[in-house]
Amino acid sequence: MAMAMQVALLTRWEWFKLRRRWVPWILLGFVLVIELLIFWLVAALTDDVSYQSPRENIANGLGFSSFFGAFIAIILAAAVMGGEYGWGTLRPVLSKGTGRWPFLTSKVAVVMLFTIALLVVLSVVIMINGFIAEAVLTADPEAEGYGTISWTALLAQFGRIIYAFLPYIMLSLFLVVLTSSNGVGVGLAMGYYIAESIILVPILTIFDWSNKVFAFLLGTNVDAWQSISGGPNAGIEIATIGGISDMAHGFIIVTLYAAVLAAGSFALFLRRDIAGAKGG
Amino acid sequence: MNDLVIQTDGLTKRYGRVMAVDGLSLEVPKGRIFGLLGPNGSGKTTLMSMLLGLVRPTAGGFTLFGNSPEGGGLDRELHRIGALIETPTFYPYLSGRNNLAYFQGISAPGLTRGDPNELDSLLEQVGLGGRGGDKFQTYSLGMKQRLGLAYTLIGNPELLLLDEPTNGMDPAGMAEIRELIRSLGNDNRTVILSSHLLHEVEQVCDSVAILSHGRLIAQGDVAELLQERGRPQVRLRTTDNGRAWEILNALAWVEGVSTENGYLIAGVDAERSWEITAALSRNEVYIAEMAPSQISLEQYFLDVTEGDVI
Repeated sequence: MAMAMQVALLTRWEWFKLRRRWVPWILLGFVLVIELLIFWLVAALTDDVSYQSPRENIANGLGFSSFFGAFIAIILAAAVMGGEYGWGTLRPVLSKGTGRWPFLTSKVAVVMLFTIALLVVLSVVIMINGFIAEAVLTADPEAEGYGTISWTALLAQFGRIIYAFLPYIMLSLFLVVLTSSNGVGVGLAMGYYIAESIILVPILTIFDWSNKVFAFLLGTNVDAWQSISGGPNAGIEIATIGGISDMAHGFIIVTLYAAVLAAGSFALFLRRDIAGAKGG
Repeated sequence: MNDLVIQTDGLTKRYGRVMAVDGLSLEVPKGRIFGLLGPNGSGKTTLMSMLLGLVRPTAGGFTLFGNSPEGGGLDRELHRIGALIETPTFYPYLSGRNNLAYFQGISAPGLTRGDPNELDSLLEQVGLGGRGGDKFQTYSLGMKQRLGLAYTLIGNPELLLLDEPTNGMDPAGMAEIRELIRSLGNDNRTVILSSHLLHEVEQVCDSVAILSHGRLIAQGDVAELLQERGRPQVRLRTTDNGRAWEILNALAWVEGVSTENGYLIAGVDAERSWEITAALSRNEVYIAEMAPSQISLEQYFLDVTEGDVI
């Protein structure tokens, strides 16, 4: 209980620091602009024949958010932890008796909180724009598939996306703690994300046995777990363990990645000596 | 009752082949202003870092306030300590005041908000009253040091660990901070001051420990150490110091002659001053100034560290 209180306290003060930085606002602005551009481009192209309901708009928006959200989670996790190494602020923080593992846990918590807030903001903005688009482009409620997504399904999708950010956050944190550097950490994490999703998966698809490999890659399992069309590896066939559903298999692998990377991050952070500012 | 705030027992830290701290056994009594002296690389910062749990000892152990830091106990004890290690490093995008608010917040019990009056009072105390709203990245080194001192005083800790707290300050600022440190040593608070400035330590500290190559080579009250080591000396300035140096060095009853800031320091009892006067005047060297002198902490330090660079 005392430890949970300590993590809550530190998370609150991490939020205090985070909202005073430029990084989260730049990321939010960037994703907002991209999503709105995509939204209105799609809206303009689909015109007024079978325009989607606001719930479908949000669902589609979440699909894009899941793609950009992983980038944001990686950059933000690296920024919140890497900054501490770069500025040399781990010394004054840990000298105050905060405890290492509550401090690192609060970092994960604040990045999760920010990505949740980001998805909520994006969903609200897309929903508002959906209403505008519906009015401007005269939606057709009789069209096939209009309004088929329920709010419950939307909420579940939201939860799955948020959970899928966890391994990316842990990957970024692990690499930052391993290298004690923001720049190197974020570079490696982004490199992994891009290499796996954009290079490795397309190359492997030409082989018959690729589904066995995809069963253990992070990106393919994140998309299997999220079960949405917006992911970069959506539609990739994976060889699930024991014939369980793609989503259940995805959940297990995503959880395993998050747990292993978290264990690595915490083990390193708890054991290592803390040096002064690294400046990068 | 244990009156030792810090007690180390064979504390050792090795980085590869480099022995940063070598079997250090040190005792810091409660309520003292304790100076930690040593040349660069003597292990002062490593020692402080180990006491704060930032660096893991290779061997040996220590107690803080009589309690062992084992089993997570260190974090509890750290709430009783204010520490500043090397150059102050805070969040550059936060103002000085917000930096303090953050550190006050994370040290506060439960989820309670810290007292904002404490922050204003601390900023005033260290002379940053008018600049608390400015971002840390705009501060000069001296201002950063002042903010660092304010940071150490959050929560009114019982023990202060200050590593070079006047580094980068102008002379007036140094005198001001020295005075502040002296006043902080009142009220039964213990202050450990690591400094390169030996006269600063001599002016401020009651006790000192001298480290060299990670080993403790001397420890005790400043006055007692100087008295123990202090051979009788006279300090003099003459019409020709070079010639006087030769003459005094040739006298069998003078135990060594050195120069310091345009003065000669001769190892001789002040009772024999008249003999020095006579010896020099016989050689047409005349004394402009002469007085008994006590060994300075700087001389003492150079003696015991065998001239290691500080």
